[in-house]
Amino acid sequence: MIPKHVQKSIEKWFDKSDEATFYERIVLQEEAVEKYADEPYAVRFAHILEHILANMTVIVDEGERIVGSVLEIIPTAEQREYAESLSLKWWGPLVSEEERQQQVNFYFSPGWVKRRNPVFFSLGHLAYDWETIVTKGLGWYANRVADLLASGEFDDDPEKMQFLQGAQIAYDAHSAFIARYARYAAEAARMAGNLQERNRLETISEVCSHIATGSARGLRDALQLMWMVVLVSQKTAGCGVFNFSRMDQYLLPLFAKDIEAGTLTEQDALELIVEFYNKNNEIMFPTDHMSQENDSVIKNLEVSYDDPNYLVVAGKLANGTSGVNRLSFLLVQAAKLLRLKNPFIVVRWHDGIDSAFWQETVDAMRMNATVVIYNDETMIPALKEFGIEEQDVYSYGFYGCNDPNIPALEGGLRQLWMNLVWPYELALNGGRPFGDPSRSVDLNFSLRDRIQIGLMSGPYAGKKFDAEEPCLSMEAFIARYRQQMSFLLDQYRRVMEQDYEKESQWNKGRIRIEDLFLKGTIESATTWLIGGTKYHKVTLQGSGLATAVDSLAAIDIAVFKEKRYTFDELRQAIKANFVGYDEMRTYLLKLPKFGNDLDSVDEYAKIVVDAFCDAVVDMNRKREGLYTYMPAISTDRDFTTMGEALAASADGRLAGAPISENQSPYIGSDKSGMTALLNSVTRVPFNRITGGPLNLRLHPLTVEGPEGLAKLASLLEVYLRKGGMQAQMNVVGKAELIEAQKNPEKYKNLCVRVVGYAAYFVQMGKKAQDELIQRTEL
Amino acid sequence: MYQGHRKFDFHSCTACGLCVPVCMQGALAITGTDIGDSDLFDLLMRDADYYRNSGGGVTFSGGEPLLQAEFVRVAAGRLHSEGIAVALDTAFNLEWTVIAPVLPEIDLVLLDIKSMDRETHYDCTGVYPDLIWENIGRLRTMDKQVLVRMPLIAGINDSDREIADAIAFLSGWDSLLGVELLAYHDMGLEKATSYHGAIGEQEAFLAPDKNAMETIAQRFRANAIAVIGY
Repeated sequence: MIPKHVQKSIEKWFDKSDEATFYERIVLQEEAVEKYADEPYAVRFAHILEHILANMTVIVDEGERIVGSVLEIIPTAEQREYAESLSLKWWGPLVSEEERQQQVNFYFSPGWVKRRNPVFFSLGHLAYDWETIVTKGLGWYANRVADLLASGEFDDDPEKMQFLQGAQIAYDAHSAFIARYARYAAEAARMAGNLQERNRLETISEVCSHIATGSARGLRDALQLMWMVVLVSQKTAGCGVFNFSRMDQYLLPLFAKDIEAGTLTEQDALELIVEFYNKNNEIMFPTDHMSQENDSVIKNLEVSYDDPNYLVVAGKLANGTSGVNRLSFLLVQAAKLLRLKNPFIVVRWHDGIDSAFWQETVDAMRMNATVVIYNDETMIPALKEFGIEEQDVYSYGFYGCNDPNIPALEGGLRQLWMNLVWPYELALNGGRPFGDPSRSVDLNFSLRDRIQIGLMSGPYAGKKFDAEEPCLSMEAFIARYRQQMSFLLDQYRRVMEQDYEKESQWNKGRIRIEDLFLKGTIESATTWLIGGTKYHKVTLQGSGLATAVDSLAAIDIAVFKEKRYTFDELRQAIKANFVGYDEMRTYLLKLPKFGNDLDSVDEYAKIVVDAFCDAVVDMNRKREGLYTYMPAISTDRDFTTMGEALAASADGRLAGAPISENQSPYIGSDKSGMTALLNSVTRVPFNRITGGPLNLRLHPLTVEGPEGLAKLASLLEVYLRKGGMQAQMNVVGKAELIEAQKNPEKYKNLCVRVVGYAAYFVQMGKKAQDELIQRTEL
Repeated sequence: MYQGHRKFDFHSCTACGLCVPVCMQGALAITGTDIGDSDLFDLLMRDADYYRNSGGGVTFSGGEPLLQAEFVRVAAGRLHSEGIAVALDTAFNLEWTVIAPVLPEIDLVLLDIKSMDRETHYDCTGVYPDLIWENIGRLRTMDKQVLVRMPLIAGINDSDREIADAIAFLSGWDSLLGVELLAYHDMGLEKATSYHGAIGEQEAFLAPDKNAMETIAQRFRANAIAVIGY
């Protein structure tokens, strides 16, 4: 089912050296940076793009129908040294944080920015206006900007005129690049040894020649055009992590037209989609960008090398009906066939979704395809609460990592990490962290905190109060928690708004590649960053949900309900990191924990999340300037980092230990099975939360066969119907079972079916485990 | 302490549970909890949506759930009144007077046939099967869905004769859903060790090989008895 040339390309990818790089980009870029040094920012930006696109190698690989690749080489020592010297010049220790901020504004984690020249910069994480791209074509964009330039509307604003001139050059550069592919393929067709190969190349040439300026006539044109736009943005300018948005909606008319005309079968369509998906994978590099310690990450010279591109399937339409159609099926089937990490398929569930489609989706998840599910029934109300208008809300999707996105109407990644455990620690200790007071950060967050990591690592001071003042009821403690939450977030908002103010000055006349394909930027001749688009948001990632929930519940039970310890005793024990308090810690560890469907602890999921969301509502009410805030529940992979600055907590966790991961219970504390876990998680008021993952891990035996599929499909549907928001799963095999054997403490909740019964893997003896491992291999 | 290790004398343990809350590592635990039928019902109903949506339900298993037959009857009855399907996994080695009152609340009975030979049955399980077979005879006269499971051990209960007897015994039972053939495994030994300490030398048993299992399955099918899995 996977076309041979795609299979070959996949195999090639897994053998690719982690040193390979698209080196000519670096050379061409720097040639142009110098050549156009005297030009205004936006025009220079466009000329750099034009220079790269006019000179980079054109590649048409064996067998492929969708073309567009970059030339990868293993750089020599001198070439590597040159590339490293550039990184050092742009982002080295001699460049102050203030200078960096002025160059690229928000969010510059060193690993991310290091290969990006600040004058040719993008961090991606957004959705283009794909529908307009495919239905109107690049020529339409070029004509529109020409009309604007000629209209006189911006004549008295030289920076805006430069912005538009830059855009015009950039559109033409795209068209010229695609035309190079058309010419190359035509030339290759003339040299082709056989008729079949000649036909293939001639068709490629014809398609590229048409889409260089024209709109898509069918599915193949659309995918080819989208791919060229992605290739240019992602591989030359570093605008990675796209949301392809609702592909089954905007491509449907073209697909239906092809099918009706008989120019395409569903099988052809599936193969084209497979090829398109694989292109997304092909341009990535064999490494994990979140493992910043990996040699392959450190050495990598690419601007965008491991960026998941998201796409959205199914979901409700604005008229209340379901978006599921034939193309939805094909988009999921293609993911199931390939089972690659890229692209990342988001299926939007809604009440009444077609059951055959739901089975198809869950089957793909069961087979470890990169398919995740989101719930329209919670997401739509949540997005509305945080300012998305009815007319736009149904288009919602996501970009990595699980951040909500309104396609084309907003720009790129802005995040604030909010450790939900912080306000609890501050509420316990007079608004001060328990750690070294000299390290505590008062009121003004450092530039590094503001721009890079948000309230992730602390130790931040909160609103000060007398720590000795007795706390007489749980209600009083919750009030303190809420007060500290609001205080921290509002302080953060205050300092961030000063940054936005500066940005609006620095970015006049600047352009980023994504401005070419958003809604509003060209019309207003303004980059998205400072107002070109309709929406501007910062996603607030609430982190450590289960740790916060468990800790609040522990105080409630230990101090107020069971009166086992006084508030002050608990505070002293936490201050001492439980040294000398073994008995108390044992007691606290055994208290009910989130993830077991127990009301006494799960009720805090709502209390914690409401405190968070209410504080965000408050931020939006007080905000000045462009940016609004949207709450999500996520930790990404930073739950370890975020635990480091925290003291011990009332759930029995020791100082510096990790906090809970994403929306999961604290590691090893959910011991009551899958339905209990899901029931606990549904206690989170997700109709106020706009994104974030719940990772589930299942053993393949529990979901095997048609019966397993039916059970899993039903389980996930009930979870969503009960108010769950998202789920993604790993169905684990042998390797992970062996790992579980070595580190059982990390796999306490791994449930396996032995024969006619189920067991927790780590509770089984070694011999039984070995037998199961053998069996799984079959 | 015994030879430098902590050692529990399980025979002296009264299951008072005082050691559990003070064990830092959670190594000591009492398996099982006391629960009333009302609390059990509340607990089970928390998953009611999952049962209803999937067509699933609750299985009373064990041990032997019918050692608390009245409890099972009441709890199963309440689940029934909520439209939740109930299965009973039982050895059936009890007086019919204990079993009969529970059955109206049960949708599916899960039974084992360990051996069709009285002596083998006694050797392997410690009891003669007479009462079990008698109860099965009574159950056959009722219109109750039944799934029979047969654990098969090579050379012990997989002979032609055993299988022929089982087929004869089960033939013509209209409400029998089928048989599930379970190849023997010794994973339970580890569990036994964790509860009782070392359990001494065990005879090594083997499962019938794949072909033998397939042949047995074919014989059941040939006699119009469905094979649910093996």
